[in-house]
Amino acid sequence: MTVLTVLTQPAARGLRVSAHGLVHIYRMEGNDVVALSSVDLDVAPGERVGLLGPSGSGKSTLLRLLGGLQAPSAGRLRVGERDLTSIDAGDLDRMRASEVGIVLQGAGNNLLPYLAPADNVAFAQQAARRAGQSGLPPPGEVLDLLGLGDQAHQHLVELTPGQLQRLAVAVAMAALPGLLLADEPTSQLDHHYRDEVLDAIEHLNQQLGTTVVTVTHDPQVAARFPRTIIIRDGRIGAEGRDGEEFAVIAQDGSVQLPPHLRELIAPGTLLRVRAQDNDVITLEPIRDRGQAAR
Amino acid sequence: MDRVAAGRVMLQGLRYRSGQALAVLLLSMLAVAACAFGPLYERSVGQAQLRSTLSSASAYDRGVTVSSTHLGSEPTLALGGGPARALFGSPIASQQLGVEYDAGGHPVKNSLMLTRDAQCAHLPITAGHCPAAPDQVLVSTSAAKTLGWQPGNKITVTVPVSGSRPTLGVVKVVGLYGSYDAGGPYWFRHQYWTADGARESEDPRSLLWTADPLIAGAGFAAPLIGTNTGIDSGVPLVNRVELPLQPERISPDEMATLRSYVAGVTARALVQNDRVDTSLPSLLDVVAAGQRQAGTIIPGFAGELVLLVLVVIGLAVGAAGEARRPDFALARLRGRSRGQAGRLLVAELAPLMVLAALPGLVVAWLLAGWASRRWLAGVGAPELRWPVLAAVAAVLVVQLLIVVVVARRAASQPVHDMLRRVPARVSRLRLGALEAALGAAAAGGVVVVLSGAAHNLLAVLTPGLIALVAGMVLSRLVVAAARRRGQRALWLGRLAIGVAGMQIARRAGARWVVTLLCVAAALIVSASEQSSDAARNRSVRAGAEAGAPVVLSVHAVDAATLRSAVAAGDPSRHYATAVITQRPPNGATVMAVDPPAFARIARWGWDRDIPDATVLAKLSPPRPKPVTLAGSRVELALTQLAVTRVHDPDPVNKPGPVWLLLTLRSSDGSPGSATATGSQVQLGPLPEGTGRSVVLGGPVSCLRGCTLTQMSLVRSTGDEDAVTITAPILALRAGRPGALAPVALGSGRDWARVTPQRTVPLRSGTTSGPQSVTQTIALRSAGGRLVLSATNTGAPAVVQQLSTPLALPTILAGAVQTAPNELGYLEDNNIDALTTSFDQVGRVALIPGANGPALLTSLSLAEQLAGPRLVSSELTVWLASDDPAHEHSLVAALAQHGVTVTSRDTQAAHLRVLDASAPAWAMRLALVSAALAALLAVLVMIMSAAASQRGRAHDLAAWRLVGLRAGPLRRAAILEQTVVASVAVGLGAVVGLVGARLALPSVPIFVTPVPVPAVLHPVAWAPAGQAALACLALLLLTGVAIAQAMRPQVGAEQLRQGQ
Repeated sequence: MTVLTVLTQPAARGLRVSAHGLVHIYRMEGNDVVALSSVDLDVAPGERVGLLGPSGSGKSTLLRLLGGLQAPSAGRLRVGERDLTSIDAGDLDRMRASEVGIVLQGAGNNLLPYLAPADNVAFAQQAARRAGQSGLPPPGEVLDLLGLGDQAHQHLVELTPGQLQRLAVAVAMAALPGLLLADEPTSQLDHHYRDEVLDAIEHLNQQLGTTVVTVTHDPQVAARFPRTIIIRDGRIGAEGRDGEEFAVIAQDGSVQLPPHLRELIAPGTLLRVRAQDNDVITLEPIRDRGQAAR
Repeated sequence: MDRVAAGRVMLQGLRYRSGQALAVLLLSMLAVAACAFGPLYERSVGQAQLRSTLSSASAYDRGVTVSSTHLGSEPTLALGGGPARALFGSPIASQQLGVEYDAGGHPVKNSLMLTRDAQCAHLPITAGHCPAAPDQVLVSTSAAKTLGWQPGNKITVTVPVSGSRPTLGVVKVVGLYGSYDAGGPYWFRHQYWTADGARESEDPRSLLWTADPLIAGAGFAAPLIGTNTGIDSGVPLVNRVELPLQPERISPDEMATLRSYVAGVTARALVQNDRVDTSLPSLLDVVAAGQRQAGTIIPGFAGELVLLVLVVIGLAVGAAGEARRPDFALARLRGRSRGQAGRLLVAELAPLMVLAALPGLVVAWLLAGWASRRWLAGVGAPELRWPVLAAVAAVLVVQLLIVVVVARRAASQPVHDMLRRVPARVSRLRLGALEAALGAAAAGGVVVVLSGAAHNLLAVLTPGLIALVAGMVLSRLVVAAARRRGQRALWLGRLAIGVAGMQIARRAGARWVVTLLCVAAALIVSASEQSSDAARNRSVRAGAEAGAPVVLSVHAVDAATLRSAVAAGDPSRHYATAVITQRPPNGATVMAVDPPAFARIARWGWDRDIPDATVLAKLSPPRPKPVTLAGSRVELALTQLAVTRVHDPDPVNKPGPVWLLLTLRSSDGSPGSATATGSQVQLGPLPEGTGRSVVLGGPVSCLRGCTLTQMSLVRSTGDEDAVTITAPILALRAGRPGALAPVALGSGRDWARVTPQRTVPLRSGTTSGPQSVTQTIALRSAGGRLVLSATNTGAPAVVQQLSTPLALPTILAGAVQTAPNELGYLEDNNIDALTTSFDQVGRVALIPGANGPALLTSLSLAEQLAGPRLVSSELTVWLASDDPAHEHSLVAALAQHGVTVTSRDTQAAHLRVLDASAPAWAMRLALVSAALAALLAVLVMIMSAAASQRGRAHDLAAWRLVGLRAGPLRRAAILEQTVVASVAVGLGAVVGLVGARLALPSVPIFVTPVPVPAVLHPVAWAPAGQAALACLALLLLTGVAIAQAMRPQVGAEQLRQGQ
């Protein structure tokens, strides 16, 4: 892997992401489904974040909202300088052309199967170039960044799964965006290829200062990220920092209990919350309702 | 950089989707070919119509003849010049002069001397040499034989000049000319050679002769006219110049030039007092009518096909758009706008369509060339003119619009929707703008058709539009029914049906496939029905024009000989029948026939046109037995005779006796041979007074028998007294003098008045007496005997024995212009060319072979009323079938009875002429259209299967995974294809038939007006059924082949591939 010559101030290229009270509801015939409920999130420029959570928790929905693929139902969402709650179609196109790179789940879904890797990267750069973005690196350099320089003109069928996934990342990074959104980039890979991809993303982040938000349901993958955000039932349930998981107080003061505590404390249980002198806060379940009245 | 990259993306995309690209390329070629073929073929048909019409017309009709009867005139001047002259050959100048001469005792009063430019180069001179001097002539070989001429003879000719002394001249016969082809372009239809060369006048009252012309050397007229050259009228001289048209030099673009040229010639001739004869403008009208009809039919059929191809292209492009959804999604994901994303599809398909234009045009050109060579004789290579290029440009633009619209719609979906593997389907009914427009157009077409608008393009397009709308409705029903039936079958455990139903319901393009198969089947059946209906109409019209499958023109001395010869040749009267036709120049055609045999053998058009048996029977009504007598004398005994007279005091009145006359006809039918003085026997004056008995008699020449046809009262010239007669007849006797035998006169019902009943004012009348009398005559039964009674004021009064009819019973066809006479009968020519009365007993739409207003009558009755000689009659024998062996034996039998065949006409020959017309040629496009529709249907099925192959394989594999055996899945695959094909073809056939029935009355079939008054269109079930079955068989085979091809895909391993 090499460093792109066009980059001078890597850290300055990352985009800030901030979401406050973000809500997304899927409108279905018959009933609506709340996918995200009052999500608060701040991702600093150049930060590398893993979104962790079980299937259906809302992490992919959050990723699509961050990529502007869907509009939030409520709340505020900013990516860099852009407010995605009031963005128009042209700005959204421009944002996706040069500011946000998205890696969809499944490498094949990110690539035109009839184009060679270099052509796929070139294809992804066209919109940015049309939008007036100058100084785009040649496709070969982008591929070099992901360790695919030697495969620039191979057929896609000749690439390994890991190479394909890295190519998907390369395509998303073709216009050197400030934010890379990756949805399960390692979901169909074995450990070797998984690590290869995660290394590539990490390398990108370090080299370019790109903010990276990656969705995964694999704790081992999440462990490779300095910050992980655990989403449960459409909310941010916890955050992990360097392997340790913390509950997060939301803007409205709400906090999710970790799953193992939920097994101990049934829904509907009253808790007595007490702050100790040593900044420790205790949660005391009240088994007897009469006791609660006292 | 961007353009290079975009070009690479396009090329790589084309390579990746080469099958789809090939399909679009082929379809686009087909659309261009279908669109270009229409104007190419239409132009060729127009050209063929021009050539055919002009070539089949005689040189005289298509050429221009300027003639002048003025001495010293120069009709050539009227021809003028200009570019139009290049379309004609060299003018042929001629001069002819009416002459009379005496040839071996035959007073030839009707002959010509003439000369033409280069005449000897076109005449077969059988003896002698070409005239080299004005006083040298050629005579026809047949005239030389009849009149006893030979080279070296001299003829003294007279030029009759009205109001002046005829001039004389002597010409020398220097050679003989034989028969030549008067239909050749040089002769301008002039036939100067006849088989008998010289003949008596056809008028039996004339003793004059007509002879073939004397063909003289140039400049013969002046010496003959001699001193009369100063006279400008009355000289039977014609100076003429004939300008032969060269049909092969004329293109449709020059029709206007020709018209204006003819108008110019006519104007110049008018100034010179010359006469112009040409049928060129009316021939050009016929050509223009044919071209207009081709301009209705061809764009109609081509339009239907183009419509179908465009819909298929729409389907193919739609499928391509569907297949490109992931590409669009990626493009949007990488920041392209909707338009830029859509351009991916446009950039890939538009070049293909542009690329297909040239080969499509070439295919159309080759196809039009093949069709022209195959169907349009004498037409050169198809012409690439601006309408062709405009059509290609138009279809190209429409295709590009389809691509742009599809691309925009596909790329405008939300990105996350485009990323879905299985697109969301909307189950509720939606009516798109296209569907609404098509429905409105179809409804408009039906209204146009039902309103009876003829020769309308929308009417021709109507079957296709109806089929499209019906197909769209059917497709919705099929998909809904397949879903319901499939669910029910799965619930009941009928897996094959269930899976097939669900597959039909789930396939993205299923609705369009059903629609297109329905349209294709409708087009095939509609084309078959329209084509076969037009063919049947042409066949019917050919039969009605010819009269019968075979019509032999024959020569026979008289009608009786002809009838007996035909009876001998065909005793059954089911194969041959004699027909004698009179075509008076100013009256309706009269056809004398054997009614039952004629009804059987003639081609009446449609069955409804055949007169029913009761009407036919009226042509030969039962008649009383004729009054026959034999001997040399006839006597009529009257008793109680009463003859009273009221005297007219007018000084011009000259009273005289009242004569009783009998009209006899000898047994051989000749009216003039019954008596020495003619057919009438004058029995002597009736004595005046009352109560007297007299015997009146006279000589007759009836040793071999005579028939008494009429009794008449005849008055002296100038006798206008009112006479009343009552004459009871005691007896009529005939025989040798002294040995007279009674002759039965029959009853009063057997006799009828011939002369009209008329009321006449009496000048001798008093205020108390009658002021007028009604002139009448009757022969009635009274008191056991016949009584002749009459009131008469001088006009002839006749009663007729009804074995000889008063008038010929006739069946009328068309608008006969003759007004009825005083007796209420129509008058027209009998077979002897003399006027006779006709009594209308029925009316039919048409009489075969008459080709216009006509009277059909009984030949045997016509013979009775006619003289012994047939004058200006066409003698023909009509045959029920075109059977050479049968015909040969009949012709031999006719020859044995002295009847010779002179020419032969057939229904097939008329059909060939009708087949070589613009509407017939244009209608052939229906078959091309049907064939291409079938090809498209097959393509649609293959394309649909190919487009859904991956998803289908995945579905089938999933079924296998849950335990379904391969057998039901194979059956399901076959069912899925065949059910769709069967249902679509079934409805398509019905809709096609209905559409064809609706459109047919508006589809032109004939260029010239139809002799068949109404063209009926009974359904041709056999061809329509065959077309539908052929279409069904083709699509079922295709469906089974597709199902078989999909079979190897049925496996669990497909599950991963389908992902």
